Amino acid sequence: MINSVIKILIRDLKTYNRSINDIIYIAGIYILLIILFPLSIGTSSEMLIIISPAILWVCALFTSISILDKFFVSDINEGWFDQLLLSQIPLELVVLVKALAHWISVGLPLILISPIVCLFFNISMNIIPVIIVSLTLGTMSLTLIGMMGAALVLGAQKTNSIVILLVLPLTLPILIFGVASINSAVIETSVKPHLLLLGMCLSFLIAFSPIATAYALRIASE
Amino acid sequence: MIDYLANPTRFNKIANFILPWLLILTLLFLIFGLYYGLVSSPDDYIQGSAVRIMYVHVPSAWISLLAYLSLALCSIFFIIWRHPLADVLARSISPVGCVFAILTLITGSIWGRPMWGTWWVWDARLTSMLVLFFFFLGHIALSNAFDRSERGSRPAALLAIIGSINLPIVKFSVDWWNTLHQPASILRTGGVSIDESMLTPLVLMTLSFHCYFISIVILRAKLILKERKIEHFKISGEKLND
Repeated sequence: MINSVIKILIRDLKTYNRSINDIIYIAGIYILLIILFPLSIGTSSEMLIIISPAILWVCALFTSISILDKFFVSDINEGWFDQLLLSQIPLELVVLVKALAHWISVGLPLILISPIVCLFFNISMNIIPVIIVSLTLGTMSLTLIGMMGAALVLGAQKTNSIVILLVLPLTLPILIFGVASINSAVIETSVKPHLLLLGMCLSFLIAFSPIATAYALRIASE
Repeated sequence: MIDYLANPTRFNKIANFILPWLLILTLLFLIFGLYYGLVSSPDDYIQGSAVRIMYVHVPSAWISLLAYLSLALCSIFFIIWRHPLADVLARSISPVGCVFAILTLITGSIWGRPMWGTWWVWDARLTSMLVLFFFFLGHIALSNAFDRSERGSRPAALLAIIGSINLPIVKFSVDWWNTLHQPASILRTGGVSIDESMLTPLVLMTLSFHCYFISIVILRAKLILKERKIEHFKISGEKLND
């Protein structure tokens, strides 16, 4: 079983990252979204430092949500999914592996370029570890939430707008705790409680989201 | 009980029997509630007449929470036992709950303007209520997003169950965080902290809103059952005979 799980992971990583372009696109979307804020709010650097944690997080949230609706579509259309239902591997596990693959190809690029983005906003270097930890915990949770949304709308019309309507309210706690953790690092207070809360959300989602997603997938495949 | 009601004909029969009584009760409670609320109850010594917004605001907030609770319960029933009636009820509850949630936000906003000096604050109670409204909206959107309407029932039910995590957050937000919104004064440990002259209209209006909510849900459920019947006849090509 471990073998087949690893194979699924590799297969998914290959389909999400057909070429280096895919990662560059995601990084490009993220940086473009971030650039919108200094250009629209104004370039006075004091204000940008105050709102930069929020900008980092909102853009990460939007980037990971904007590429959700294709999460399972090709698997179902290609019939790969029906084979999976016939196999011995529990669907919940497969879903978790797919989430991991999706996170590696979407969340990880965001985290890797976040230090560069910090330069745009003159964020001091010693906050970067906090930003990386909070974005890691947060984007993992966002992937798990988004996966539920993507599975729920399978087979619906106008999926793109509906999936955003469903997913955004659920992501609000992640956004709040994530921004709060970076903010408290900026004003040099303890970041631990916020990161712990983010970790709590993540561990809850790791337990709950695969079950809900697998259930929604079974409905969609009927 | 649920098994008994799952038969649409039987549900219709019971609904037809209950509905007129519920509507009469709604009207009675509403008339007395409005009289006590607008005429016979005293002004608040700080808030003046603006306190009377409470008699609409508080019941609609309760109804929207109750609506989400019953939506989640119907969804659980539907997912576990696949009772078609649970789905019909869930579909009839969510638009009503949505309207009550927006009514709560609007009346709260009108009340907040003279009392807090602002239409809106980003406080935990207000924000979680807004999120509740979006969950209702998402449920409506998802349950109508499919070609065959029945196909959307189970995804929507699952969404309602996932969203019920917001329910305790709305209820306890005023205890967990420091908010501008006042903490609960009716359903709290240590008894009711509101004077009888204001409690009477509040209770009457609440009863009226509850009766109204139930009767609208029953009416909508009857409508959806009829729609499904028409769909069914359209597909099977039989003639309608009622």
